[in-house]
Amino acid sequence: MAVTDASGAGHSPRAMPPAVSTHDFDALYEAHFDFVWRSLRRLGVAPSQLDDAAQEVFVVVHRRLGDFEGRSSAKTWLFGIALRVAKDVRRWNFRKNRHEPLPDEPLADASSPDPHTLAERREAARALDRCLAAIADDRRPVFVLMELEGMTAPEVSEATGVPLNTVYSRLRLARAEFEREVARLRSQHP
Amino acid sequence: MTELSPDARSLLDAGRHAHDPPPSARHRVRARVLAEVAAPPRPSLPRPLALVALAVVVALLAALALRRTPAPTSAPPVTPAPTLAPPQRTDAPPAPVPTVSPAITAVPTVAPAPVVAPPQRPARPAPDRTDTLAAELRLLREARAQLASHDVSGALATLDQHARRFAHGQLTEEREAVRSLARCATRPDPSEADRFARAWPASPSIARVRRACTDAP
Repeated sequence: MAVTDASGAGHSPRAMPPAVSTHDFDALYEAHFDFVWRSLRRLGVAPSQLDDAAQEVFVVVHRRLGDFEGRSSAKTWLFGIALRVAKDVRRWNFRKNRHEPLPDEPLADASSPDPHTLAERREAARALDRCLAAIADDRRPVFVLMELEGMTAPEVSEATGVPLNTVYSRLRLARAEFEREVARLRSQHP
Repeated sequence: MTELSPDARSLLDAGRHAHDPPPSARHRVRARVLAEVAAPPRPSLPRPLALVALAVVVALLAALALRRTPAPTSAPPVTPAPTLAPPQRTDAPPAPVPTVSPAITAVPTVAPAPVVAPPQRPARPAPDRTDTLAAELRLLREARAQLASHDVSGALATLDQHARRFAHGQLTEEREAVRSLARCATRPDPSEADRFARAWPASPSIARVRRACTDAP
């Protein structure tokens, strides 16, 4: 599962990449594509909709690059956009009566790792999906950013537009929801 | 604050890279982004607001058309107020302000014959490539969602709709890839993958179509 993450996030929960010093789209895309993709997925966007959602995020990024003044980190800015796109996709699914998560599509393509690694990753994704889905929609972004992307509470506050105290309370509640689902999962698959 | 249990922490660690994109996604999405931003930007109104804006534009155009009908002989020359001009996108070049030719007001009481002095019409806006792409994307998203929920005939119908509306669309290749996936969803057919590969030899979807058409249950 040693997949290189250009953003540097994910290797260590507390290792934050430096803020992007250039507003160049290419640099931003290369550095943070993985982060945006992961974030969309963890915010509940189905695999079959990820291409469209990631495209929408980066089209917005391309058009608003001039507005990004570097006062926040690129990651918090991108996550804010991804959050809105993910909500839009969920609303679309709701309007189309897609209340259940859409089935996974194969993760593999021509240049993917070996089948064993893929199977492991798919299983891990399934378990994590299930536990993340147990977290309320308004708490999940906080949990994802802090527990999986290693952001600090102030950064999460900036990315989500939620007051700092609320970030902490949502994290506490989200952890409890996540723990309950993990326990349920373990009891079913000891 | 309560820390996560070792079980929960272990699940997070195991799944930390589980949602990383497949290697081809980076290139694929980038190509689509660049295709879309190459077109003129569209207004980023939420859909309901866009519909309201469209209704307002239609109403204003209708009002303009009414204003172009012959005025009573005693009426002063009709000049549309600037506020009646249809709202322009701020990022688009200004369209000519519709004006009523003075020749109309010079014509006596009878209705003005178009051949005498046809009023200037506002330039018809060029088709917005971005809006078209958005519409194409919506249809393809619908088809993919239908396919993901095993509604193969629905997906094929949506793809047919795309083909009718966008015979030479910007996402024709993607449509045909989804069509091949849909056809192979019910019955694996390697010849379907061959057909797609012949038609789109440089498509990044070839591998995916081949898998679907050879491995499908």
